[in-house]
Amino acid sequence: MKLVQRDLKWLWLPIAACIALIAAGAACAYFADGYLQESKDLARAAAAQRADVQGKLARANEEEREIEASLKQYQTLAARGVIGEENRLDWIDTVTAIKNELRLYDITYSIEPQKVLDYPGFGGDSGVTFMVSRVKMSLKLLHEGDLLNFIDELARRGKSYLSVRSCDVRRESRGSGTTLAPRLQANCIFDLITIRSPGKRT
Amino acid sequence: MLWQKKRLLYLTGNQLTAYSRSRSDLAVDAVFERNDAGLAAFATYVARSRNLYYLVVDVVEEDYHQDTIPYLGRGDRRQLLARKLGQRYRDTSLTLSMSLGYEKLERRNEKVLYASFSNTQQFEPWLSALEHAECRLAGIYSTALLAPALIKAAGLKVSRCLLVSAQQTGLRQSYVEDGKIRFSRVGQLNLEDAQSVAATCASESARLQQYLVTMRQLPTATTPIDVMVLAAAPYQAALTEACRSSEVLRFHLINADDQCRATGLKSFPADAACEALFLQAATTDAPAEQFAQEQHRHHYRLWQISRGLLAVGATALAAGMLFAGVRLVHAYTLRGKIQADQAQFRVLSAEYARVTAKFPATPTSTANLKTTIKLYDRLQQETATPAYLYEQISKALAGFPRVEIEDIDWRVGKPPAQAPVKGAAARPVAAAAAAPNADYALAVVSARVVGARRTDLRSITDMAEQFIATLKKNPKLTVMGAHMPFAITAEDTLSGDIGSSRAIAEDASFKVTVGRRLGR
Repeated sequence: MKLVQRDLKWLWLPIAACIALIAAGAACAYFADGYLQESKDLARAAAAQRADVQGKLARANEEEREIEASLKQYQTLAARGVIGEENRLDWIDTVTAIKNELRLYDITYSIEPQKVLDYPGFGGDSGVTFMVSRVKMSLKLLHEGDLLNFIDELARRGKSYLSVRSCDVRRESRGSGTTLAPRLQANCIFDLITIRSPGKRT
Repeated sequence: MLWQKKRLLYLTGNQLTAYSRSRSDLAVDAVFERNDAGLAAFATYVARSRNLYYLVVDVVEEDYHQDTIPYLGRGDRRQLLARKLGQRYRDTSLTLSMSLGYEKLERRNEKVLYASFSNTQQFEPWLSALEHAECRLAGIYSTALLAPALIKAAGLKVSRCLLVSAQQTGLRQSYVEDGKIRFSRVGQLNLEDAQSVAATCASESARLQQYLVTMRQLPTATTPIDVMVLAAAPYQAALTEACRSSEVLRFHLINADDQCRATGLKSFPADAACEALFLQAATTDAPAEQFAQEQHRHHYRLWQISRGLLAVGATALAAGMLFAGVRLVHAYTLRGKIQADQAQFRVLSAEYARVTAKFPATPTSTANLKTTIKLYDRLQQETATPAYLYEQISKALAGFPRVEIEDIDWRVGKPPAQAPVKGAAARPVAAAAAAPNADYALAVVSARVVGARRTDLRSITDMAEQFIATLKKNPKLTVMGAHMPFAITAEDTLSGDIGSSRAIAEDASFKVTVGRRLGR
């Protein structure tokens, strides 16, 4: 059988219908498949949501204990002053007091402007901001024990958390025997770290 | 479009009768005489018709001829048959060739039947009207071609059968062997006289048997054949009387009216029961071979293509819907599970809210509280004071009164890149491995060996090495590098001042870097 141009008047409608039916079948399959995929995604999300709250409920007692412990530690830090604004005058007073108590020689210091702590893992997207003020300090010492005692006292009594970054202790003189004079020169860098209050309960 | 109403056209030498067929009814639509008025009426009848047409021809002028052709491939066979038909018939517009099987000889020649209407001009006006009206002509069948279907429908299972039917055209005799028509002819018949009809049936059957023997269609003169006599009910009594079986003729009388009903026709023209059976066979059990050529069936082919396209589309739609159905059933099941999960989530959330309501009040969110403490703990782990390293260095120094510390540069940071021990002797103080990315508390210890002469290189070097070795023995420390007092290896420059009294080793200093990993 040979088809000619005028036969198209008989065939265009069946061809169009055939294409329309195939398209309709494909559309049915496509949308049903899409609906199934969407259902699968929803099912996964719903199951995960349920499992999450189920897990949280199962861990509720443990979480309560964890919150209590964290809260206690948090309150301790807040009471000490680590959580809150940095108070440099208090800190200088503390240094002065320690110097006098330990009978140390002259102490010189320089406190840099406060900035966000940039230690690895302390990024700002956690909702909690750690702030740091870098302090460069020079001390004259009779012996290295004075430095260690000074650092211990400063860490214990300071309202900011003290992070010692470096201490270079150099022998200045070998001493002449009876004269009580500083024999060591220490140049230290400290980080005074405070935690910016995360705000009220949300 | 898929299912078309069928129109059956019964053409005799002088008229054409149009029948319409529904599921179980066959009714005469119109009768068209073979004259101008009749042809014009027929043209009007088929105009703009979208029905399927089956043309059954019952005329005297037809020819059947058996031939044998060699066993050939499909293409060669087609060409040979076309040539043979062209040689035998002047006009091949209404011819056919039908295979009758193969000879059981070595060469496997094929037996073929050629059939044609002798006078094709008598069909031309009718076919032109159909062509002009673009009618869907499914096929052109002679009553002889339909004879095997009638024998089969009557339930006669015989290899040689002569169908004798009494109809308006006359007495039609069609000889069928192994389900294939071999010969057919029409004789005159007076339908008004039942006795005459019966006598003619009996006598013509015997005569045709003789003719078949003469034509070697039957192997011997005594070869028996079955004769199926098809006639309307009024002739049955006379036929029973006249048609008595003999050694060579075994008569089977079939009541055409009953046979019509048996084939599913509840109503049919009362005076044309035999014709009704032929028409019924054309629509229900038509043979593959028929007389219409492709030009006659063009619109029927277009209809078949249309039907095929729609069938493909419908199949695709059905497949798509089936696929979609399976997907939707799966999705429906999942939706049920989602609802169950969401309901359970709501219950569990409420329970969790009830439990957490009893938790202590916090100054910030629970998450912030935990994060604060977690980061603070980490901060504590990653910071240190010089006290620990000072203590360990001091312990090591206790066994070396001649080693004096000049400087301790303590810091928190990454370990220095691994470098070879500068000025190492034959027993080098190798640097220990340190984790390159971990934070360490590091101390670069600068010391010197006191009270030694500048010339005593070996003593000074040994002292420094022993001190460093002592540090290395401490499992809590990692020695990361050392710089020896003198460059005694072959790669470095070594200078000295042997014999000088001032050569106290004031410059016999060395450096060693020790560290401790934080957070462990």
